[in-house]
Amino acid sequence: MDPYEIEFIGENRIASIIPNFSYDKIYLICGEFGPFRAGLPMNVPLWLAVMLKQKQKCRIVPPDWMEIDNLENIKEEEKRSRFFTKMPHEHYMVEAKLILGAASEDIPNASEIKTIIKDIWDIRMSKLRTSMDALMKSGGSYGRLDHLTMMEINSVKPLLPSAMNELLKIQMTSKKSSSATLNSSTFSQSGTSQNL
Amino acid sequence: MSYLSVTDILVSNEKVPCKFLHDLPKLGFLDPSCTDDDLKAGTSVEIPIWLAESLSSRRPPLVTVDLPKVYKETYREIFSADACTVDLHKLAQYFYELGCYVAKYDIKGEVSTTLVNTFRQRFKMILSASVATDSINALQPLSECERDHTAAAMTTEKALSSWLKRGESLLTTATMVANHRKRKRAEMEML
Amino acid sequence: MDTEDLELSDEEEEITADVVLKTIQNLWQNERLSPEILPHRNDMVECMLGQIQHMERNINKLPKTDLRASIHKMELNRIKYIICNYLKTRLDKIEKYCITIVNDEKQRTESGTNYLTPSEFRYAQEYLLSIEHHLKETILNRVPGNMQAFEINKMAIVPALQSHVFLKANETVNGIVLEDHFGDQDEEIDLEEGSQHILQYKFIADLVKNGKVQLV
Repeated sequence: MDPYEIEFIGENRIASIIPNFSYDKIYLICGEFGPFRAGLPMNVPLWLAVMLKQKQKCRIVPPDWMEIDNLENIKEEEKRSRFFTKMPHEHYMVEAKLILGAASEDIPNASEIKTIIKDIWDIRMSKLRTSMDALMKSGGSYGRLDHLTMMEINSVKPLLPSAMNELLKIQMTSKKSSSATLNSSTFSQSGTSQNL
Repeated sequence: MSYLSVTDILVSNEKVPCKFLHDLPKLGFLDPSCTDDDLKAGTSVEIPIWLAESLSSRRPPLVTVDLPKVYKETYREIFSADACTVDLHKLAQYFYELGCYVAKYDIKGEVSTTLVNTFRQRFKMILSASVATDSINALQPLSECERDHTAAAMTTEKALSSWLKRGESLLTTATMVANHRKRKRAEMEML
Repeated sequence: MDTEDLELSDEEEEITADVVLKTIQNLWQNERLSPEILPHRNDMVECMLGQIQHMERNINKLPKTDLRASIHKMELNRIKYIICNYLKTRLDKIEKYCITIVNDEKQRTESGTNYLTPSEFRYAQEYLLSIEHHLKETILNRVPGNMQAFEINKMAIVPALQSHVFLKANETVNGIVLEDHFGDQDEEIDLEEGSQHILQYKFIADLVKNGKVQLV
């Protein structure tokens, strides 16, 4: 899948905005949202939040997790642990990219936050590469990857699954053949001679 | 392998050394060093694997298939010592694919083990080539199959980097852009 | 402009439009990521298309510059994208695995467990005939008589069920056997709810189809 498709999926998350207009409730297929009251925070899907922000009809409220101390803790935990730590939610990177891209002026300490999130991302990606290599070396047919987000899993496709497929194919075609031939070579040695 | 796979067609054209077990009249042309019209029993000739499989699976078999040198003892030891130092592109660009074909002629089954272990060890070369700034050198020693995997991994990397960059939210563009054009040109030629 | 409670059938409970939407999103994700074609859920698709039509009728009653109209339109475009991509993914698989799918579907029709909708099946059969006709006209009828057979079994591309996929367990499933190809090192694993794994698709194909795991 493309990163944009995963962004598309992540955009369904609920985000918090403060509209600068007032409106009644709207009844979308994905749910009811509103009423919109200028100056009062409310929840809408992330795609709608970005759209309204781009039309300058709202401010985006940073999600709870997008705050310096919290992120520093996550980063330390990620550095310390051998495994992948549980991220605030499945689409943290999508949310970060969209919110910091469209509404960085609404986020306090936006540039520091960008840096920390990028650091966390880099640490995890590097761990991921090491894990892939370890997985291939140790067997290459099964792995458990809790706490990896969809965007991170997508970043190793098709490499990891296709390498595992390749390994399986090599094992299957090369091993199967040698045991089959054993029978036929015995046969030809012990068989009676025949005319061509 | 899929009937329509171009790689399979190319691989099955690779030559393997075979020993002919019988006199074969009029087939002297198979051996470029032979001056006769006829092919004598005991001659060793390199023929494509598609032909070798056909001739050796007849009853009685017309040839015995020998392993190409890359799958023999000496090289197997090199691979198990350090597979990552080998330039597979120079040595045997269809190393894995051809290996799968010839493994059946290795009664001891050691070729199979070598193929599996070599692929496992060299996986990290694919990993580093996919993110390398100097991708030409990183790609050079990889076999065709390894290069295909690397190419796919590079595409994913590019897509992810460009997604991160979009909207100027998270990734700095400076270093990426500088290397991008140079690298792209070289990769096109390589792949 | 209310969301409607929808009755799918007399026996089933009413389900809301947002549940249908979430279901379709999961179906789409699975269909994109699975190596084989999955059972169709035409009931869901038809239901959502009906919702979309209803919404569009309502939107057209609003003035064009109304903000609500553009919000609803945007949501509808998102939903249409998912449905189109879902159906297109299925069509791509039908074209790629044409011969295999037609054969399998013929067997499944007898037991009433079709994976394809009637129109998809018709498309598959027509596509196969077109390919056969095309190959015969361009090549097969011009080669020596003994090579003219359209070797359908050789031409068939079979979905790679042994390929590896990533999955997330929606509920705890115990006792999945990862068979070793050579039969001597079978492994058994448990999928805890919320855990994520990479393994061969064929071991969990049924779990994907009954919704116990989600491909990621």
